Amino acid sequence: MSSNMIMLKSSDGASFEIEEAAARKSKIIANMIEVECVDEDKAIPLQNVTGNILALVIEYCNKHIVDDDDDVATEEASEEEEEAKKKKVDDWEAEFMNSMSLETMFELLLAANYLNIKSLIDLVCQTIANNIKDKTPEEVRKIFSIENDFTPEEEEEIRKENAWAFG
Amino acid sequence: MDFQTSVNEKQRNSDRISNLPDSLLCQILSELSTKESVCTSVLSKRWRHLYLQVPTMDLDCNKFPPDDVFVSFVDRFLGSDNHQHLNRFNFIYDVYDHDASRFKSWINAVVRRRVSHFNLHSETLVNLQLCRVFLNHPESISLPCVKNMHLDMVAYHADSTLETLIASCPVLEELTIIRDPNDLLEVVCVRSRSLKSFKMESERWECNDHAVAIDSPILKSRGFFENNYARKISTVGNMYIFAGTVEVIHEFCEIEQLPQFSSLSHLHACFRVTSWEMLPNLLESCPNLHSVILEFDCLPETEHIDLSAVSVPQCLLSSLELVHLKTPYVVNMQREGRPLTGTSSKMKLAKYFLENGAALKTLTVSASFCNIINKIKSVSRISSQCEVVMD
Repeated sequence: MSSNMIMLKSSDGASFEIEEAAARKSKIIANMIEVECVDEDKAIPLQNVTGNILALVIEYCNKHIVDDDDDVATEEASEEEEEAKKKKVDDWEAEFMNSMSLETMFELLLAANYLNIKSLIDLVCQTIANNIKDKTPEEVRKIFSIENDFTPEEEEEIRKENAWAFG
Repeated sequence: MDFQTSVNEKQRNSDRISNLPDSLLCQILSELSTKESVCTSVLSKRWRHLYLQVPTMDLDCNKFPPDDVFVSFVDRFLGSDNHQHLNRFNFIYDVYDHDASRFKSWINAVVRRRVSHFNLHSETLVNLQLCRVFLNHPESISLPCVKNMHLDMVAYHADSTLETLIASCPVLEELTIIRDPNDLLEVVCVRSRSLKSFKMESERWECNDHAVAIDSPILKSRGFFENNYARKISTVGNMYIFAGTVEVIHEFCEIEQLPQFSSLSHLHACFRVTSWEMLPNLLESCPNLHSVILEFDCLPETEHIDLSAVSVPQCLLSSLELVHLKTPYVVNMQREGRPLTGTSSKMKLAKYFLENGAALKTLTVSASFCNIINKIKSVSRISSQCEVVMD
């Protein structure tokens, strides 16, 4: 595999070097590479992503590019090996998500959305959803600082509308 | 940092989650059950109607109160003003208590929502699961993106109903049918150009009129057919057909009307508590069979079976090179007071293949044949290059 390196530049001016294969996890960057609008000497400016978030994105991409290679090389791998590998990735992802604040998580989600990295969007959405699961609406509001802008009457009305779900 | 700490720290911060675009919020909600997703409608005005845009649906009508709540909710969820495509449609609906025509309109609504995003089909997936539904005339249905279909105890108006439903899914890859004993089907007919995996389970007590036909060029894994309680000696209790590169597979439970499986090169058939006298018929219908694995869960003494009475199947004369016979090592089952050692049946089977298999290269028998292996090895073989091995 070619180890072409490309440069990414965050909105706050930080530059990051990343393997092309890892950068291709982003469909936006992959498209740029396809249409050859990536100048080898120039960094790709990412106006919507700050340096600390871009560092996380790159960490994720670097981790997952290795996994994708493995998939190709060991298509015949045994089920146990597959499972072990999957567990390793799952553990890494759990640790990765666990290490960041909620604030960072939303930044990361927006960055992944902007860069169009589907697996990262899925991962962050799943993590956020896990924090909604099994919680009452009051708890969810508290966790995510959501202000209840319904009047008590309005809220009662909505609960009645789908009473089956609030049972 | 643990979650609670981060919550406390960010308590005064602005509400980041509500500022996410609808598409991301809906994806987050799609990771929840529909019930949990609906509960987010009271969070704030921002969340009021988001659950209706969520591209997944997981609902079980049995978890609803016994009135029209379920129906009106599904009506609203699949409402015509909603053009969001559906990724996942997991639907348990007991139509016996409800209105079948409404079910049809729901299915059509689901279809409509897929069709409007047809260009996304490679990235989206519809899993259709129907449980305890009566399906009536689905001719007008088209399910262009359904890849996985799970039909659990579904009853059909006619054989053609199931056939049409399957035909409505041009990209169907996995099909599971768990049969209702009263599903009104004579023949299960599965015709699909795209099907890769097919599984069928049945719990009929009587299965004389029970037939399955599969016509699927790329079916990769296996056709699976099981009669858990079949006791009739004339039926195949348990039959697998593995198809590697075969182009057409037909699978029948009943031995009459067996079609020609002319492309079938590998057959794996399991016989359970049944007789194997249909074996020559089965082989006759596979004229190009290259290898066969025959498993016998229990092999009764079958003096009445005379394999030489029927003509030798074509595949034995020309193509069949590998035969593997398997029986359990210890047969301690008692049936009608007789121990089932099956020695004469084993010998008969081995002799049948050795004496008729003109192209046979290897006959493999399981260790349970050890008491007669020498006898088997001494049988004169029609194929000079044939080996007998025990695994």
